[in-house]
Amino acid sequence: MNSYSSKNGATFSQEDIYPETTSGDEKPFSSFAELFREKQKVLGEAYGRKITKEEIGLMLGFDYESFRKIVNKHKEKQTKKRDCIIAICAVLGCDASETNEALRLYGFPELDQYHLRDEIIWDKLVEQSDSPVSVDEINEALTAACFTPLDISNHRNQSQPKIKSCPYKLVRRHFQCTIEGVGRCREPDCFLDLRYDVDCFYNMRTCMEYLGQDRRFEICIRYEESRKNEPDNIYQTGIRRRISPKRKRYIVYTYPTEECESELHEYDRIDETGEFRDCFLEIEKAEQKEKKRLCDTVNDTRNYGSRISAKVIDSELHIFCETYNCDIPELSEYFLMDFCGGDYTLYILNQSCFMQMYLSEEQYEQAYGSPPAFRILHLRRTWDDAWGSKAGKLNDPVSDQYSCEEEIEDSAYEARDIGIFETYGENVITEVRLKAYKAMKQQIDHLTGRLRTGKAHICSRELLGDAADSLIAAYFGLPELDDIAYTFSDGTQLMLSAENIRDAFELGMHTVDEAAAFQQVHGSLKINEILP
Amino acid sequence: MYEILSRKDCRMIFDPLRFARPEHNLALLYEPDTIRFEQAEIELNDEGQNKRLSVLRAEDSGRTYYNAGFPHFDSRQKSRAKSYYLFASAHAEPQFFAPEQKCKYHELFSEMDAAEESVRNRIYSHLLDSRNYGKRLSARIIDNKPHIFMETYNYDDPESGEYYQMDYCGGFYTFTVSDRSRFMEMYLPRRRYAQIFGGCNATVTERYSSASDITDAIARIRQNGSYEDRRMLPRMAHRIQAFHRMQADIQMMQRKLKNGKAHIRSREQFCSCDAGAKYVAAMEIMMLYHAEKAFHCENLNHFDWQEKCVEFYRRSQKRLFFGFVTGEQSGSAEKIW
Repeated sequence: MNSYSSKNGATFSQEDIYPETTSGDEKPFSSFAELFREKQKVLGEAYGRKITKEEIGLMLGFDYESFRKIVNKHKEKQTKKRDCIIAICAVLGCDASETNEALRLYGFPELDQYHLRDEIIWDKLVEQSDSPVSVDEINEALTAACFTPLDISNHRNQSQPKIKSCPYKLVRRHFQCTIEGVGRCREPDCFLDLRYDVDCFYNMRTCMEYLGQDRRFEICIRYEESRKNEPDNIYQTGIRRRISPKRKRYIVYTYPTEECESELHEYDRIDETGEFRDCFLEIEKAEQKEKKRLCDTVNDTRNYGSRISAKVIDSELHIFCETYNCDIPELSEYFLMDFCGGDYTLYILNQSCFMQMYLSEEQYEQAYGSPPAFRILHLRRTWDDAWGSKAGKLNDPVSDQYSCEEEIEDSAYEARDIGIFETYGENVITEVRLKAYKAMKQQIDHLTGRLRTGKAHICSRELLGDAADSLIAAYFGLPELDDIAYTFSDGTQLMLSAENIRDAFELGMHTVDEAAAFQQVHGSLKINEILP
Repeated sequence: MYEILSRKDCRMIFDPLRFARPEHNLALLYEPDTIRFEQAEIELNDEGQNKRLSVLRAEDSGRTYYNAGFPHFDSRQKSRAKSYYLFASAHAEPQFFAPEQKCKYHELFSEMDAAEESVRNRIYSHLLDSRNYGKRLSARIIDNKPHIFMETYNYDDPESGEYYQMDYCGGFYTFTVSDRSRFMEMYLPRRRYAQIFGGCNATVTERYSSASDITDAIARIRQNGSYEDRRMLPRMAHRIQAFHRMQADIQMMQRKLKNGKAHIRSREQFCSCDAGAKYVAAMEIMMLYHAEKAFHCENLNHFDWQEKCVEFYRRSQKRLFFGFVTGEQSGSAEKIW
């Protein structure tokens, strides 16, 4: 039985009772560096890879050398900022008592629960004990309570890497971001897999012009892609860009003068650009900022009203939709319904999780800097084996979940303490959830019908036109679309025909491994045979 | 000295009336005054005795859902500044402290104020953004003219960050595009908006009076537009669709207002349809507008009113309602809308 349905009603209370940490196994740390190393190791185990000191330092805005000195504390108090140690502990996933120990080891006063600012920080650490808390989350809570955010840096010794100024004078800057394929929203379910693909449809271009040494220079970063003889539609373009991501080139163009010809230099790496290196760094920073803005827009279903899609996740076909609770927006909650294997599950979330289902774990982490929290639910059985009860505490955005209307109706009879709202005995919230359940189920059923009849597609080979087979082959990393004898790790074999690969493409799969695994589980790759 | 035992945060009181029949009280649907808060409390142990410290706000005193948006309706009540009160036990009288009063609990006052302000700001920030509502539609008399207005976010192209507003007044539609939500700027009187939310800072980027204005703009771009302008063409197509959708919604609201299925404020909020209780509605409305003297009924009580007001109310209900709002002596819902 899923542990979420065992919660008492729809509890949105901010006060949760956590099990007390066991003593006995813990040994005191002799230094802050030792505590840091231990927590760094635990964090790495949680994410399944080594987390370097440099990565942690970058999260906090420190360059490696400064951060190393802060952690190792060669001299007396390498940082004078108590908030800095708190921020380091938060990012490492220390709970409140570990943070206090860290502060004590560093020679700072511990968190004082009777001091409201400290109490806010304490609550944030306790709320997500054993999992990292970002500095932004803590600062948001502090700012909301009208306290100053965490003050991390020693202002005299700026930890951020200095960008040396260019020897030339900047005379013009032009930034352009074009969004292609806006028309794809008119038929949103004709190619679901490309609908929210940020990488495929956003082009940015920043030019800067400099004057110096009696010459005028224009620098820009260009993203090159292979040209086609005939124009592609947006879906062909999208798939091609996935097969061959655009190549980044650093361009320096020197304008001609009466004495000199124009010059054009193109570089593959920023380190080759010489005196313009820092200028290109600024361009990259501006583009990253714009890309982050776009990614953040895509990451929140509130910007779309409602979204729906379908995807194969771990060899199971999911059809899922998400909407913001516009009926009671003060609750700041999202409804996400997932349909898989004939079961509908409605999740009540405190953040938008649509993209966490839409993207793979690697894609999400690359775009948003942290692994998806919601995806952990789908790996629950595996993680529970490794982590026991801690699996549920890994940044879980789910406040409640229901698998049928009856569960929602039954929850109306349990008292609700809804956080910043007073306890409310009547059923408006239940009614809103029931309404959402029915509406979203209808939406999912509608899309399921359209997928079954071929009116909607996760990926559509029809829209790829005559180039479909060659594009699909390249997409799967195959020289051509032909029969494949696939061998599993246990030695069993499976024949995958060209038609199987086409069907796998239509299911939104990217690799032959995925196709083989799905075929083995379900016996078919045809969507109208898989859908219940 | 005292010891803090527990804290209870300031919390919003969830009012089901806001959801019951939303189109019957358009003026209350997004009215900040309808949002009530249960004050923060701190339970403390002071020299062995458990006490509870809380906040009393004068502006919340006497406030109900029905008088939300009006200045303090009962001028007979003695106005009190904000105070903090301490309960020692269920039977003892509470002890009141003025905000500036020095006492041993004084440092807790600012803590409670900060907590309350944080919750209030968070709740009010939802009101400011139509993205949280899907679409919002309301009606109001502005400068003696009835307006029906609506706002929605450009959900088709959210990267644009655009909000679409449409205002219908005097038979004309105005469709505007802005970079921030402007709904509450129309919904509330300007002074109230500034008082609650500060200054207006949304920029209107485009303004159209008809769908053909947008079509003409598209044609001009196709003919002479720059490369960047041409990239805007798909977005302009969204605007045409939005114009038609919003126009249809506004026309539906207009019909509902005309035939009494929607109201800016419904007198039914004061009473049921029971004819005998309609005098209550008349009296409440009278008091909202401080019109007891104008109708020569300052000294009447509820029971004296019963016979007189039911009949008067039945004869003059529409005129009474619109007479105060528009300043005209006569008017009907059908004529106004």
